[in-house]
Amino acid sequence: MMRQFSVFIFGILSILLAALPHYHNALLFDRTAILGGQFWRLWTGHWIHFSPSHLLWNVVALSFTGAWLEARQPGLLLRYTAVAAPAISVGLLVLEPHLITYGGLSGLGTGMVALLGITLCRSRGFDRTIGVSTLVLLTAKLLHDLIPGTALLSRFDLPAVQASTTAHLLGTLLAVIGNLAGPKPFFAGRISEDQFDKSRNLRSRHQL
Amino acid sequence: MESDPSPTPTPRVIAITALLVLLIVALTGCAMPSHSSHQSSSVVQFLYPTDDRPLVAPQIPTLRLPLTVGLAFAPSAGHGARGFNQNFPEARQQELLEDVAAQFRSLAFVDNIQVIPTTYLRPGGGFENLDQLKSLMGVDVIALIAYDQAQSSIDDEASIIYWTIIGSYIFPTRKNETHTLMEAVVYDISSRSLLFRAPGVSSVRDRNTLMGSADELSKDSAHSFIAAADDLSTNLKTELDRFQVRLREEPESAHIEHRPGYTGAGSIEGWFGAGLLLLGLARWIRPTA
Repeated sequence: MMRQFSVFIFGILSILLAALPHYHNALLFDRTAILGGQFWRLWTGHWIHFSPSHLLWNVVALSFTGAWLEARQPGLLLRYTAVAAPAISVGLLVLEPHLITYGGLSGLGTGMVALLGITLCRSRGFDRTIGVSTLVLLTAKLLHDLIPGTALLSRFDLPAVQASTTAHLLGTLLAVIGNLAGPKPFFAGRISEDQFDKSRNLRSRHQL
Repeated sequence: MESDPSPTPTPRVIAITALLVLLIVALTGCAMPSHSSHQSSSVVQFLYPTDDRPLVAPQIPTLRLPLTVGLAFAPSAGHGARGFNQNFPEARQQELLEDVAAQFRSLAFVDNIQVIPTTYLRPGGGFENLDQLKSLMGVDVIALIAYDQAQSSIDDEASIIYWTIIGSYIFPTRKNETHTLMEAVVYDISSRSLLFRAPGVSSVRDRNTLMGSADELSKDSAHSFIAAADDLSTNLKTELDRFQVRLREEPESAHIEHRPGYTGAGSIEGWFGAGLLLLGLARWIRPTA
């Protein structure tokens, strides 16, 4: 059920909104509108995409990562999305003063990849290897973003739209801080699939 | 009866003298260019029209992306524009500008291309003229297209056949050469710095008769302009690629930043998405024991 939820909020919802371009102006991250009191844009702006390929990669990667994360840490995706979406938007308002409008799920997406990597690293065996590999891949992506000019000169479908990497850094930072900081991390799930499987195995052994 | 001490030359002597003079002139003419012409527009003359004007010191350019690029032919200071417009007609000029515009449009960080009418540029207008364009049309970077064409015709030794008059209509004893250089010079207007340049060259050589020479030279001029424009388009692509590489590899060569008021987008690159899918596939193929 929760896996379907991630596919819905990152996949179907994004595609639905892409099919309704008339609503984009009301939902897009728009600095002037947000500062004028339209605070819903702090959340909704992430679901607006500027081109089919922009939408495609974000939806495929996020639905997949979201479903995987939900399988490992049920509920984590919802908590992270609810908190990180406005936090990333506020970060963009503060750190990117020249940015007027913004759209795209990748800020949330990189954070989710970080959460998935950390979650898998807490497992054992091959899952840990996958977790480490995921974090290495994410680090490579963030370093690639940080190379001066690389993101700015990268190809985007619409020349008027420029790649913004601040959202990626903010999303990842929020995920890492939320997952690792404090004795009871905010984004840490109560029960993981591994733990659930172990307790189920123990119960069946007792019954035998 | 005494004879006249200073007899008047006979018609025969006059005729021989005249023929000798003509022969000397004709033979001398064989060794010298019979015709040469030059037409050009110069970016240097446009930007730095007088020697006494202090040279503008270029700074490190700050490119605020996405860029608006202006395209224009550098104005010709002299009468060269007439020949250029005759031999490289307006339709061809537009074709070249469209070609150059398409190449700039393919750059990820170029938002808008403005083709600037030549009337907006004054001969010798300099950077002040470009500043006006920047204010008027919002152009950040300008690509100026300049040309330089030299033509010469030389009669070879066989041109002695011109003596027969009819030979000047029949025998192709005149060697024509046309050399053309076209170049696109790209400047960042604010910093007055040259970003890059791309040349296009062409040489056309042929022979023709004395009487058909003018028409042939005109045709050669047109062919050479077209060939140089094609070469320019090819080289421009290479230079644009090099420019992008230089921006990435030599960050000190230009500051790159977002234009105030830009639209940003977070995007998952293909390689990153594919990496994630591969990791998922690996996990799926090898489930945890």
